Amino acid sequence: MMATPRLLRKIERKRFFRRIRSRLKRRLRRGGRLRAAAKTKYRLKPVDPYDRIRFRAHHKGLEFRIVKILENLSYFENPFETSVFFESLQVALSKTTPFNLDISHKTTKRLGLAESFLFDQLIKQHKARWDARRIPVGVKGTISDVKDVNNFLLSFGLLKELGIPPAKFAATHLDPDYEKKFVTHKSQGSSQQSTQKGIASVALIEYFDNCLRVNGFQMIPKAKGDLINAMGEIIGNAEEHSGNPNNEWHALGCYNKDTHRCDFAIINYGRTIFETLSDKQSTAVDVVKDIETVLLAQKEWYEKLTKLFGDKFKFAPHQEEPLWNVMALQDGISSKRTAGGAVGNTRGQGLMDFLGFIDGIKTEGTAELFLLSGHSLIKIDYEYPIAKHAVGPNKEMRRFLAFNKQGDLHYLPDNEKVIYLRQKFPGTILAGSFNIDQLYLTKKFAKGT
Amino acid sequence: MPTTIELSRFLASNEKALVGRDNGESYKKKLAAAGYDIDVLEKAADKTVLIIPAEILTMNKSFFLGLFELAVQHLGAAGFSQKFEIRASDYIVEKIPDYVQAALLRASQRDILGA
Repeated sequence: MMATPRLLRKIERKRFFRRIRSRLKRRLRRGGRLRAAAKTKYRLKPVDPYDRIRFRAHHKGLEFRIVKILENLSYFENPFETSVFFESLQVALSKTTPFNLDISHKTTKRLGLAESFLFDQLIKQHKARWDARRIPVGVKGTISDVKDVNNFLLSFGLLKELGIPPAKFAATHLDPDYEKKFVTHKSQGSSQQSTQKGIASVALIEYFDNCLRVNGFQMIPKAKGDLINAMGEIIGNAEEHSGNPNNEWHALGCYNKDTHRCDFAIINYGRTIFETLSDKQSTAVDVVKDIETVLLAQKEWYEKLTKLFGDKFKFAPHQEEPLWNVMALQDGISSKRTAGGAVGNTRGQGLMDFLGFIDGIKTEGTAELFLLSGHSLIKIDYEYPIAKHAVGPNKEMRRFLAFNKQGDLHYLPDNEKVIYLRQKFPGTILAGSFNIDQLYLTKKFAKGT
Repeated sequence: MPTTIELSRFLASNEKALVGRDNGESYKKKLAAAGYDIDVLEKAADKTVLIIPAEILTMNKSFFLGLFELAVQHLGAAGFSQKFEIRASDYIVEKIPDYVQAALLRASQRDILGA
């Protein structure tokens, strides 16, 4: 049947309409503008601000930007560079244009557990952000020249997160038994479930115990129980500081089979220790302010920091934070501690319990812990011992860690251990590594059984 | 006749460690709702026996303080041990005297910092 001229004209009109509509759509995607009447006439939806980027990404591909991981990405060993690295990365990843990532671990020799977790979080957030806008971001990278770093990346870090198999790498770059060499553990929770920190603490310590079994050892029950208690104390502390019941904490563990080293990290986002302690509601605010006045009157520490950071330090926010965080560590200091006779008057013992416990269980000289919160980093390697002094009218014994030769909180702390960072970490991390003293282990299995 | 509290009735699934002050306080509320108010029991004439099942590996200091802080302070160390008996693993029972001592620490924050 022949089409009528009327029908042909209709078809021709429709084709013309579609041709023009397609042309206008392309113009919009490229960032061009159209009059509202034209948009209505050609039934063009409001423009997705990411259409243009999506169009370009699809046709031309996104550019690759190199992220060079530091040689030593560790808050404990390299605090200033590590802190600057994370801030710069965050700034770069928050840009409004997407880019692929070329992550180079080539020169990386040391990668901390907490630091690796923070890095992976940033990369995953970057990918998720652009995935949600249907702009897939690619990630490629170079592994390290150091086998241990690659083993760690495959068993815990980004390579594992991205599901990159070990077969992709030459055997010279990693150990074939990398999975056994670095056994890892991750758990998370929030204060919404008060029992979750107990469950996570048990899981973390059972994980360490299982790792030790691989080497023919087992923790004695007392050590196991004490470690669960100690981890529970710091997770509870993290929950209380964060200020928001929805804020999650992350408990991480990593055990190196060769060096028998236990790495742990408790990470939480939210309010910093300083923010909690200096809050108007804090019951410690007045007393800490008083002691801060005493300390800042001793110019030595302040002057050292000014020398280190130059004039910028003078205008930096919250220079007093490290001093406050030293106070927060002391036995019996808490923003929520109440006066005697009321619920909560025994608060503030948990952090010191934890530090005291690690001091007892570690092999001498192996513990390297850090407490990062806001602008403050405190390195705890027990060079300055935990001291006990009698205080108050009843002369009760309390534990102190003053970070100075005098062992006295009225003297300034060692600025190698108590550090001000210009970059703020939005939360608190207590992390570290140590070897468990043989006294706390039993030889469990004979070889081969 | 002593009051017996079987803690196993109140445990969450998978819970193998009693950890955290907020958790201790939450147990205190749960117990009170079930008719075992610690604040009332500390004043009662009879003894209270708290049975912690064997699968509980540990109880940390914060949990204990969340549950018993005021009871210890009202009764004192000797009074508390007379009024409350905690039946649990040897490991937990050995910890209780230290926890009781921690509940009796009274130095103020100003005393501690010497400000």
